[in-house]
Amino acid sequence: MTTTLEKPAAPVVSITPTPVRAATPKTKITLVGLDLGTNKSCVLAGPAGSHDIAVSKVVPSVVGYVKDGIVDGIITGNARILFGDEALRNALHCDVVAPLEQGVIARPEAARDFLQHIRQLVDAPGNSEIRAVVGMPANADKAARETLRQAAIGIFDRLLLIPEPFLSALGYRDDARVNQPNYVDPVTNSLFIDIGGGTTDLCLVQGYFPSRDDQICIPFAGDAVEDLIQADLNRTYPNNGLSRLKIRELKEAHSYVGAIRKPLDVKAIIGGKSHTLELGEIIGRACNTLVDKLYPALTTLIARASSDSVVTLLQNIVVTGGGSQIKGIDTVLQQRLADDGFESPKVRLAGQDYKRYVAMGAHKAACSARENQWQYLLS
Amino acid sequence: MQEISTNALLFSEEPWTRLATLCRRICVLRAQGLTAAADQLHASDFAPALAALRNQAGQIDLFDDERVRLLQAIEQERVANAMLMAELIQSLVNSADGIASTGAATPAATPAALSTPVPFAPANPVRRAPPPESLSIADLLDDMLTQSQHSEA
Repeated sequence: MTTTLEKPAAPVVSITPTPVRAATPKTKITLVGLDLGTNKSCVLAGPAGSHDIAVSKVVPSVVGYVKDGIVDGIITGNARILFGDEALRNALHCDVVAPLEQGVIARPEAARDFLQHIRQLVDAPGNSEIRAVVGMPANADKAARETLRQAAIGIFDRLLLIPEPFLSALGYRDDARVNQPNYVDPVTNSLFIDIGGGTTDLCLVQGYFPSRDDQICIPFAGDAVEDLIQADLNRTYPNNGLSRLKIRELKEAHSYVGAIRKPLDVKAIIGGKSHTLELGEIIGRACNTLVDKLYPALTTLIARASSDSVVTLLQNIVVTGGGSQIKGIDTVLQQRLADDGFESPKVRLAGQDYKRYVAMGAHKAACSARENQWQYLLS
Repeated sequence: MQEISTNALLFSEEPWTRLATLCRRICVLRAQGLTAAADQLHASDFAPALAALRNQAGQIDLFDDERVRLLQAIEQERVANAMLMAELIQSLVNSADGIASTGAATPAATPAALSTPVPFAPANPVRRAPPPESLSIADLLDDMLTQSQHSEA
């Protein structure tokens, strides 16, 4: 039987028949910021009492269960479970499972194995009390949060779940410059668009914690773009045999929005033979669909901002997440806003660290959380 | 605790009671993470009151630096004890509430799903006033936890 207390600051009491880890004396506290993404996860960790980062890793969110009958020595150390890049490299010999779909846990057992791997990365000896702040999609429901808590029991000691777009803003904030007169603090007045694998999250960040009205989550993001590309490819090039991984590679290398670009010829090996695929229209159409989906949410949130803050807000629209790498997405969104009459909009990209902002924000939150703000996970 | 009570008697008369009250309020603000507000109260009220006391010291023959340090130590400890007590009580109350509502908090039996996307509702007519600049991440987290409590109540 498992009993979980829902109230914040209350201990989450859970009775599990077999704790994952043997009881090890906890001699220190490690603070973890975790962006548990549908396709990629990022973890930052460091000792309590400082803002130092001792571990910083981006790991594909996959677990590979090694198939029966694999000859000894094929898999390093004859491991039975592989994670991240290693699972993808050995995909031929594994059942590769993605623990998350649309930003939330869809396969609890695999999620638990993946979190165990994260724990191993941040605290290999297992002698730390782990306090983890984990990002969740903007409107993840109670069941999704509870599933994550259950998966983390026995792996983390304390937990705090925070919406991802808010963590993006915290991570994007340059703390060293906050008091400088010319620095525009993104936590004070900005609008974040976080385009991930499973969801696109938009969030008004205006100096207080965003309410439900300040956030919109759209279940259409990188994965959905891949679906569209794959469907279009199958129509244009039947029996192309391209794997999902290959389609993701093509998307990440060539994605763009705006006017259709032609020609965009890409060489691909199909059935052992080299073929040239014309992808300009296919990729452009799929990526433009993403813009069409998120634009109404963007204007809705702008309309919800107060008249006192909206002009400054329009200067601080930030695109982050993997979708920020789509060529031209900032320009197209900015142009659409300008065409619709919004006052001098400025849309910018979060930059090279886009994979890490949620985790950076989560780690900052972990460093700042008061004792009574953590939820205890007791096994 | 007994020691605090005994020492507190040293400050049971004016102008020390006023100084003790201010000191306590500053300690409470600091304990709540409202550092800027604490600094402001210190500058606007406590420091002038202390200066006035120093000026009067010759006449009332009560003032010495050691006594001020003792006052600060006493108030800090009182506030720390009160915060600890509040935390314990809150934890007990929350535990009781949680146990009472266990039936409603059953874990998801099926894979978790996103809630229905928030409909693009019309603008929220009432926007919150901008927060003070001193708002810390911990204060924002308090805001989040309060919202979460309300939405789940």
